[in-house]
Amino acid sequence: MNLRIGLSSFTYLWFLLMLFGPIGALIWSAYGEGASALWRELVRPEAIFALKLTLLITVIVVVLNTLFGILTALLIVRHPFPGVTILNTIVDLPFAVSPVIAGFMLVLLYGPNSLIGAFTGQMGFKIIFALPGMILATLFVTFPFMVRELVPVLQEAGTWQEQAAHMLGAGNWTTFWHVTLPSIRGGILYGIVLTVARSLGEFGAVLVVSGNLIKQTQSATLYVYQAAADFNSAGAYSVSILLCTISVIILVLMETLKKYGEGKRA
Amino acid sequence: MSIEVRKLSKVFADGHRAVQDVSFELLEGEMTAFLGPSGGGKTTMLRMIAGLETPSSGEIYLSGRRVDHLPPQERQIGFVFQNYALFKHMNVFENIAFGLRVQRRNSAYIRERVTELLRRVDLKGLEQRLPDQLSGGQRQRVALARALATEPRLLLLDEPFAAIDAQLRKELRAWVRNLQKEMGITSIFVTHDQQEALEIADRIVVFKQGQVEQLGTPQEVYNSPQTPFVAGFVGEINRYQTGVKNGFTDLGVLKFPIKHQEGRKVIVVIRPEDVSLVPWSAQEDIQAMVLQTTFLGEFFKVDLELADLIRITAHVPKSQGIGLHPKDRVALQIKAYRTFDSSGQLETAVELTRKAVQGESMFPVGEAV
Ligand SMILES: Nc1ncnc2c1ncn2[C@@H]1O[C@H](COP(=O)(O)OP(=O)(O)OP(=O)(O)O)[C@@H](O)[C@H]1O
Ligand SMILES: [Mg+2]
Repeated sequence: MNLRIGLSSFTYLWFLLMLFGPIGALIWSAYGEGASALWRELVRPEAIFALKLTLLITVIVVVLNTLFGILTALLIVRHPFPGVTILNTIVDLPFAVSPVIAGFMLVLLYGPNSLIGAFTGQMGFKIIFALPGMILATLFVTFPFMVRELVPVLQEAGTWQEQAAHMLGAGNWTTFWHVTLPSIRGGILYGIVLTVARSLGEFGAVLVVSGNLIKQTQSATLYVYQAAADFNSAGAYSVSILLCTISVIILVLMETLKKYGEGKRA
Repeated sequence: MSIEVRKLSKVFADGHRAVQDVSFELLEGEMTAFLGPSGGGKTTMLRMIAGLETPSSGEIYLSGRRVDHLPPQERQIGFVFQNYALFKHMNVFENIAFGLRVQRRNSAYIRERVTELLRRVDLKGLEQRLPDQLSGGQRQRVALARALATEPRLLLLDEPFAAIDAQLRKELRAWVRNLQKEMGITSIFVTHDQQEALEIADRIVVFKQGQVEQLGTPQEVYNSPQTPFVAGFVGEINRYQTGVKNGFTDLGVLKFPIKHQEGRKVIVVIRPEDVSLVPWSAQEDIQAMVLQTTFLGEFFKVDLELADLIRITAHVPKSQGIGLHPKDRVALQIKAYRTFDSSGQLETAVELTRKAVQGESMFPVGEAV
């Protein structure tokens, strides 16, 4: 009994130190600035641009990552091909590589001095120091989330339900849409949550590939970084709080959706 | 629909031959049981007919039409999986309606059909439940209703009753049997349970190591097993491996005339119910001592030892078994036996009528010893 109390107090303490502490500090400091200052900072054109850019990147990344994540997970689990184990390991690479280094690799591959970058540059289409590079960088760092969520879910679901659907006359597409997809819905939702959170917050890789050009390639996190560096604390707090709030809302929303999905079952 | 399978084989990627050169024909409207030991290839066979597994060679015909190149969704076969494979995220109604929705039936028809099936499988009122909220037997009935909804021409059931307790199992199989007869659907079901096969099948196919050992009606398979394996798998047997001596089996007192050449190996098979016990007498050819009796409900199983330490098991009626005790001396009469050559081919099948045995022995049979 004592042990249990001890353990749970320790857990709370840990949460306090690791999670609530920093968030509390942020809110507390922001509070010190006053609401009107925060609001003024938030509606500055540079801040609004940065937030819009981050949202745009997030939406594109979530859509692409979901599509390719589902496809990759299906390939790994359902249609194993030679070398699939290697692929399965490589999926985790973005977790192992520092985002800054990931960004650097992208610059090397697509930068203005690279073959591809020079070619697209000639066509009047920039990748690095432009939106496409930022999307690529965010895609790179978020790629494992969806795949890692779905592989175990697919493995556990097995192929029985799909086989049953085929025996009932359903073709591949109907089966995927009405049987496979609903059975991995929870995993997809969770993958999306993680992808959104990471896309909103990605800094290192985006910093390297974007060039951090104000009102051109400055995303929300870069804006916060810049504001903090320029001693504009109200600007840093306001955008930070907004980003945090969006993440929390998405998390809660997905949890509710998941509960709702299970609620229909229970 | 009728099914014909010609020289069908399945070699898995790891080189394992799960089905080897199997041919058979099953008639329209019949219920066939695939019976055999674990790993015998029953599931593989069923999955090939369904199209869930691609045969390595051979042909499959349904109603005379070759189907082995068709994907499963084009074969009009209902399949009940051993683990039911219900759609977890759909409720009972949607599970059963799935095939009808695929066929794009209108919703009034779907409602009517599903309701009728629910009534048939006795699951009315459970439409909104999800599979997780059903008992094993209920899931099984949902799986069955789902397979029947689209009126398949062939129904394949892979050990449909394996996970169900004895009582419900009996009810369900009687129920499936009635339904199948009523609807006239050609069906195949896989089972390990010989009793189940004997009870509800019109025909039985016995599989062993990927090959068909015997195909026949329950009576044929039970009464006229073509190999010692079939005899042992469908029903109980006493099995002896022996040689031929002077035109008789070389089994001491179990001396049966035999056509085999001298010195060849033979297998003698005697069912316990074909061994009857009579009072001990010096004139009887086969004398024995009771080792042990076991009460099995409808009859007694009696283990006996003959001269030369040969052992035999007899099944005797309750009235006779009650009076028997270890070390009792009795005499035996063998009513029927079969002999096979060493490769398992049937050589002789002897069926002495009760009367002949009685005439020879001069003692009333069936009287307590
Ligand atoms: N996908 C597979 N790959 C390799 N070998 C397989 C595969 N599926 C089945 N086998 C093998 O083929 C043989 C026949 O299997 P099958 O499932 O048809 O047997 P079964 O008669 O249905 O057995 P049970 O009564 O235990 O269900 C077994 O030895 C099994 O190990
Ligand atoms: Mg099987």
